[in-house]
Amino acid sequence: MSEQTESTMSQPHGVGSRLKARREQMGLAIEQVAAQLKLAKKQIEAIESDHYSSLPGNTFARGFVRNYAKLLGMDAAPLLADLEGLLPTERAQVALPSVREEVGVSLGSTLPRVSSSSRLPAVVAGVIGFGLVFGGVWWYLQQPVSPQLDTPPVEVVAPVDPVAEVASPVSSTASATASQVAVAVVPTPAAAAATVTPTVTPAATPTPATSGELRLVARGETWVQIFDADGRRVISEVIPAGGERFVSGRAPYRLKIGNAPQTRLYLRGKEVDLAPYTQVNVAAFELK
Amino acid sequence: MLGMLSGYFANDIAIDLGTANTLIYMQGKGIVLDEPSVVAIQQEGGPSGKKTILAVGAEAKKMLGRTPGSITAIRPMKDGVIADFTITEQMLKHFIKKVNPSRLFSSPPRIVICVPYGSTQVEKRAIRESALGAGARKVELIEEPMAAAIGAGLPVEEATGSMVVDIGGGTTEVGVISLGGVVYASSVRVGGDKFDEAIINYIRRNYGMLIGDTTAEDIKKRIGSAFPGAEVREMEVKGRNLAEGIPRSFTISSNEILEALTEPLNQIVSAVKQSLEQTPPELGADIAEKGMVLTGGGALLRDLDRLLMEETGLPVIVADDPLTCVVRGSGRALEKLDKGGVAIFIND
Repeated sequence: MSEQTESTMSQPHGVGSRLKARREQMGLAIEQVAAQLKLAKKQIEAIESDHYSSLPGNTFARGFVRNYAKLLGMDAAPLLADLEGLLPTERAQVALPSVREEVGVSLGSTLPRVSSSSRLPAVVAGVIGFGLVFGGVWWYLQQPVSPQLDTPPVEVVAPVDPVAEVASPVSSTASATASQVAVAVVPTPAAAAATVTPTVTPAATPTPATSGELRLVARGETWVQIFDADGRRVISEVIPAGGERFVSGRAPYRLKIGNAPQTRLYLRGKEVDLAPYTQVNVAAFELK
Repeated sequence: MLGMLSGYFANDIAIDLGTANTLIYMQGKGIVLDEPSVVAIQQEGGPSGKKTILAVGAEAKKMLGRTPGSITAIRPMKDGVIADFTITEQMLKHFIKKVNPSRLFSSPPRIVICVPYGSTQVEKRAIRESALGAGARKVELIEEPMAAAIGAGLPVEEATGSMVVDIGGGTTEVGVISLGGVVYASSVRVGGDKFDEAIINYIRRNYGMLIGDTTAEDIKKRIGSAFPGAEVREMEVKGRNLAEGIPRSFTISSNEILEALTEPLNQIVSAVKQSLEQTPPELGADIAEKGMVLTGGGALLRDLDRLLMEETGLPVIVADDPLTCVVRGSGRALEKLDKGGVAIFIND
């Protein structure tokens, strides 16, 4: 093969014309070639004029060119390599999204690359998704804590130690009988309070580090949510057994206490009886 | 989310469990294994002793026909289906382990395996069970003509007929496919092995010489052809003379091999013709325009496409890389399997 033909070979736009030139050189008519390859005359013409879109598909175009080259005694490999650039990719992709890729693989392009690049977005999306989910959960958990932190202590309340619970049945029954009035928000009779507080104060004097209008003491684990008059969430969390919380905001408060029988609530140092508001352990009420 | 994760950590694979060769395609990696389906087994201490696997694959193939009494090199697949269940399972296990070494966090792979068209329930079940025994999480079966057509790049999902002829080691599968399904298919138990057998018989009959399987395969690959060509090639062959009982060498030509192969080739041609007869006319018209596509190792037999062209009068093309068409098609199907599932994440 001469230098000149080599250079024309490297041109991509000449697969059909190279075949045609070779055919004419061998003195074969299109009809003869068509009869040998069992193809229609128009199909041979389409190949020779590089109109591959009129052939049934890229797989067949490649196969026909290979057969044609073999018939003419040409080396099919360089022709097929040049053919790649001439094949109508779009048509095949639309009709055959999946198979088209595979054809590329069989021709020596690397599958690992194709596949890893298709996987990369999935991994990135997964990581972002995880980030969003965990970020959201973290933010949600942080949320109720912050208002409690930046509320300044409003008022020092004479604290009542949980030890005083021994006396509490007395006070709660007393208050229940004394004030059946539903609106009575601070129903604690002065007598009951008086009996409770004095016994306790000496023991509890060193503790009031934190303070607030409302004081919650949990004897058992309980869920508490309180909104103040501005609709601000003052607290919303699960207080572990033995925990104590001081919160403050602007009255009236809207409260929800998950485990009311196990929770003591004090408003400005006075105990609030939860029994009237409690339905199946949960107390939901408003407090002025 | 979990499905995506386990899919990410597992390496799903597609297997072409062929009579002659086993190929494995791994998602994201391409073809990772291509070895002969041969297992060499060593028998320890008498006929009731323990059997151990000595070699699998290419190494075992070298031993075929060259083993002493205590070792047997066998091909556990015959005519495209499992002939020896336990050995096939061991072979599969070996191959899967080779391509998919167990690691931390990796779950057992899902496996797509192709089976010959028209294999019986028993045969399908045997293949499924042996893959499960070899450590698959889930096994999907795909019919060979379908896998071959996908692998060859035929427009299987379009409303147009495509014909594929897959000539494997044990079977030849002819399939007409349209709209993602098999319209007509047939499977004849003729393939590369039958070609080898025909060559052995021919030489014994005409030369009084006995040659082995490996030699016959070598003759087929080097000078075998399916259609009389312009050039005649010759090859020197060594075998045992039946009359003298002594190894001798002789020369055989491509024309003789052509003659030897006539019978199995005729069976393939008649299977193709029969399929064309059974194909609905609309699809027949599509095939007349496009022709049929040859895949499988048999497609590499010189001028087989020429023979089919002359016999049917239709264009015949050989697929790109015909040996791997089936496994690539199965791999493609494996990825489709994912598209149906959780997998917006995995694909694209």
